[in-house]
Amino acid sequence: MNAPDRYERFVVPEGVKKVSYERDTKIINAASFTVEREDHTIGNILRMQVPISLNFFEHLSFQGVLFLQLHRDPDVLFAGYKLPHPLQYKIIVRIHTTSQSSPMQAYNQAVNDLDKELDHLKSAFEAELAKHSREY
Amino acid sequence: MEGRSYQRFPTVKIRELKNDYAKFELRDTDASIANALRRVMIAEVPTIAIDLVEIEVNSSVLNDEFIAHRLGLIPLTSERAMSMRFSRDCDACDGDGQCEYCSVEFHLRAKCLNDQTLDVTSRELISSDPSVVPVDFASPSSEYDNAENRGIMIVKLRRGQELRLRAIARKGIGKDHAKWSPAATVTFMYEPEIYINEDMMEKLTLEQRMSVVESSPTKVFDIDAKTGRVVVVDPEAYTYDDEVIKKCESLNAPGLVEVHPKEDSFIFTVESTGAIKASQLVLNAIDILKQKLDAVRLSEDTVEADEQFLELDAHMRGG
Amino acid sequence: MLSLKYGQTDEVAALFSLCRMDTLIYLLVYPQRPLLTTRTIELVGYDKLGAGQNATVAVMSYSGYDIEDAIVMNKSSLDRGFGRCIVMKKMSAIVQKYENGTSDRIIRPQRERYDPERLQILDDDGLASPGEIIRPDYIYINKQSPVVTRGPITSPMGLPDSAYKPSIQTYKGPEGETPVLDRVSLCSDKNNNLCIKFMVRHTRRPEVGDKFSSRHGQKGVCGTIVQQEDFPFSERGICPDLIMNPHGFPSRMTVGKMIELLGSKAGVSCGRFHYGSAFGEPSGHADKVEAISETLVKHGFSYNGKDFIYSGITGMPLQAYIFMGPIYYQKLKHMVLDKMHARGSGPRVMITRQPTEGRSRNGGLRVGEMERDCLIAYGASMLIYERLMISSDPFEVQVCRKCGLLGYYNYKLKTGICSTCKNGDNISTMKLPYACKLLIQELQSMNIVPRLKLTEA
Repeated sequence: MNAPDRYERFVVPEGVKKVSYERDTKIINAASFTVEREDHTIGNILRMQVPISLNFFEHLSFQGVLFLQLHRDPDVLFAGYKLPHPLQYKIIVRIHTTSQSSPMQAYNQAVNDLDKELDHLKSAFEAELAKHSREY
Repeated sequence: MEGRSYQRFPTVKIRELKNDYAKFELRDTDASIANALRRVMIAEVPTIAIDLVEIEVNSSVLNDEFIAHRLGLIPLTSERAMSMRFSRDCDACDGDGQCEYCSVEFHLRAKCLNDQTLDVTSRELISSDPSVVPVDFASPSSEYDNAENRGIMIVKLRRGQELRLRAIARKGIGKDHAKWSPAATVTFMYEPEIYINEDMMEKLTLEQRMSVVESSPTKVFDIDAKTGRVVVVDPEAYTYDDEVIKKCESLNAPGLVEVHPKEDSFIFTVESTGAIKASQLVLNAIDILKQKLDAVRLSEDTVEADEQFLELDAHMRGG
Repeated sequence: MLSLKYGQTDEVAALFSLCRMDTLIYLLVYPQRPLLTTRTIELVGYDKLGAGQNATVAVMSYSGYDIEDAIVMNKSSLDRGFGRCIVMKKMSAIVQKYENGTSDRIIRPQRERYDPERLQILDDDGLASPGEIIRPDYIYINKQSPVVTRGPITSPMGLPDSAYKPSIQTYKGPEGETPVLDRVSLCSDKNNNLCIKFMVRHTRRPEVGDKFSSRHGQKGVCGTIVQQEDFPFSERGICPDLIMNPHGFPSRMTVGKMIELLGSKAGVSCGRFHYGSAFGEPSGHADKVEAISETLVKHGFSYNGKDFIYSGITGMPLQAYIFMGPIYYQKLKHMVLDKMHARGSGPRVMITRQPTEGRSRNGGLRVGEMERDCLIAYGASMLIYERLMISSDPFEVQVCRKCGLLGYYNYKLKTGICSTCKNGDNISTMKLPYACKLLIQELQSMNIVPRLKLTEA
């Protein structure tokens, strides 16, 4: 009733860019990317470009270094995202890199890597599917 | 902008596959990808569902909104959904959502003429498109398809009551309304790695071993009848409940059983509402996620939303 | 059948409620039978009248929108019909007979007279027809009253059209609500006048601010509505409908709610309704928690009712086991839609010229004593000035600097005049709240003379 229209959540309004970025004025090689009408789905996979401490498993006596971290971009010093407000349907991804790279480069690289990963995942799933249907 | 690639190569192994159910392992990736897939399956894979209902006659006991809500929640077969247009960006019908590219029309006519209560079910919905029909649960799986093949109940009519309506089904996603969500259940778990310290186990009596086996609420462990050793029979039944570990501690044998979640491998369970096949649901989710990533990629025309730059830009254009 | 009044909940007060023309009834769209009842509830038949729904509740903290007893709700659950309710309100009209033999009349709508949009739900008999969507300002009865209702009249039946004035009734409801006209009934009242009653029905889905309660008096408003994919989930695929903050437990000591959760959880797992009658364990009228725990363990849950849960946002496990299971939740009739209120400018009270009070009179929101104290403490003098005078009841007065009494403005001479000194020599114009001017005059009427001493600001 008083809530905003539900399509607001995923339809990018006219005249608004899906992605825009802003360089940090104080720190070099740091920038914030504003991605309109996206949520944790995109935010989280982008953020995971950088190692974060996983304390979640401590109580389960989890040990060992996450091998995932090895696969990550060493040039990225910080990557995080936030949803500013539940009624602002956008995420802000912040990336800070070393001078070897730039936030934009790291951002695009992350998107490309994820894209390729999903390509791979899709073909792997399709292959499994074909195999599975042959068996039955 | 070519940087080093840190791409991963996830692997998949399908364990179980039915039309509306899939169980598979996803390895060599992390929780964010697994979760993104789960989230997309729930909220962003499109299906078709009834969105607009025009009621001509309704003398049933349920009111119009009630029936419209129930109609909306009926799953419709949606193989077409990926190629269909959203009615809000359909050019052919100017957004009123009544053309063949973005909508499917349904009719329902039912009247009870005798003393027996008439059950109006989803089978009475007549579609204008043979590929978009209410999901029929009985036909594909041979287990339940005897007399109980009735469709989804919409309303019951007594003598003299009538229901006549026209409904428009449209494409949509679960983020908009749950009726468009193709997933009944999408969930994953970390694959557990269970390690039993055999040396310590040797020191326990058979009764103590039994108590260890029984401490787990789910049947994870069992005792080998021949050797009397505790063995893991179903590691995936383990629900990370810590009961076994607590039991071991109470037996003065911490470390007897250790469980670690494998951080990079997940066991997915996908159950579909029947709108699309469970396997197709996963594939569609990957496609949608790829589309989403494409949309957020920085392109040549991505502007830098920096105030200084904007001012400069305006200055340059203004001359 | 008794008509029972059940306080605040949304339940059907009696089974025949739908046949009656009550002024206001609240109905739940998909009522359920509680998974955990007591023997008393069964005896009274309370479980036969659905009052709420078995919501899967996770007792955990989520997002900060759940402080102070607020609950976080799952949007998909709401989409599927959780907490949906029907509100029915009555509107009535009377066709009055007058002493001179004339009476009101209802005529078919005259299209040229009003905006056709406002007439569109009217039938040819001049009454709105059932099943139509009614919007604010729509006419639901096209009634006319005779101009002359007293004294003898030549031919009471054959009054010309010009002898009637319109007395239409229009629907006044909140903007944005789209209610439907459910039923129209015609009957006669105690004075034998024709009485027409309209039932207006509106289906509402829960929104932020609606109030819910479990059966243990643990009430709370909906703090936020969250997408299902953001909600936590278990590896079995269970996703709660509702998240409740654990801070509600220690001070209230509602152990019954925890037992209800356990009992309901065991109930859904094994397919038997459980009992939670108070002190019923020895006599076998209630299930013991030990027995419930055994049932839970048998169905693969932890004995303490806690589940291992993953965050829907990151996909990673939560750091604690979460107490989760079904609890019977009721929707209370306090809904924001009936309460929300805001005002810019609007009606004023005649005597003080200050804004009216209360939502029904479209009143203003009062800056009270305590709020004023805060503003004083902040030193926000201009804000006080604005709130207490400019936005309330500013009034311009003529004050005599000599005698300190109020004068008046003479429009002919275009100058202020002191009515006590009988001249306009020492008049100053100033602004003060109308209520202040009123006070001065009321004091004067009691033989007390308040004199204003003016200094240059």
